[in-house]
Amino acid sequence: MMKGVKTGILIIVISTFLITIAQIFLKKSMNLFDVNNLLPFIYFVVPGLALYAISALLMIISLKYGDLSILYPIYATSYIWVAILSSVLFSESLALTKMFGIGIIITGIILLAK
Amino acid sequence: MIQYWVFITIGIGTIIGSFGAVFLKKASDALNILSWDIIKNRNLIYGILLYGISSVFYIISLKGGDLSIIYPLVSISYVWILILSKYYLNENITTKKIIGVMLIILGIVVMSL
Repeated sequence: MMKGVKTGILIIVISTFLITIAQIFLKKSMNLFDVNNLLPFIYFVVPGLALYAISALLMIISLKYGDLSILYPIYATSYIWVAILSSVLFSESLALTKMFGIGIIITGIILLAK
Repeated sequence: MIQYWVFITIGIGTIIGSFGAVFLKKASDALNILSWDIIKNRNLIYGILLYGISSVFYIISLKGGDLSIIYPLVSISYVWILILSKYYLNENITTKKIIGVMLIILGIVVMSL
């Protein structure tokens, strides 16, 4: 391997961030779907699918950098992104249990990274 | 809140998805950014196929339970991956990995409370 596991972890974190954004675009595109005016739908579905593909590509590339059993659970960061993005988009503060859960997940990830 | 058959579909789906991840790992080892041979890579095709099938099980499961329950259930994949990666990829199961995975699953469950 060229670099170490930490590079792989960084790539997966980016990948999970992108896939969360992709899901938002895709969901928005579904809401905007109108047979009479497809432009808004296309405007959101194209970036959504593109981000999805880039995210998947990054995920596969990241696997080169370390054990699958170490890198795969880092996908759990998607749970963190979803929680953070939901609170940002809906201007709600993050619930205490969510923050707690995020802390536990990050602890687990740090352990795997060492 | 959740129908019992969901545990079965999640169980099957996550195992299939985990095998898919193993194939993707094998595919990544042969990855060379400058070469398009990756597309003909059998492991990549099997990996994507299995991942797609597991997604179908996931979508079916959503019919039988709330997302807030199913989302954490899917994290059982991390346990499958520990086991499968040992037998198919010769990755060691270390105490750190076990505790790390347990913490991540715990964190996911806590987040869904």
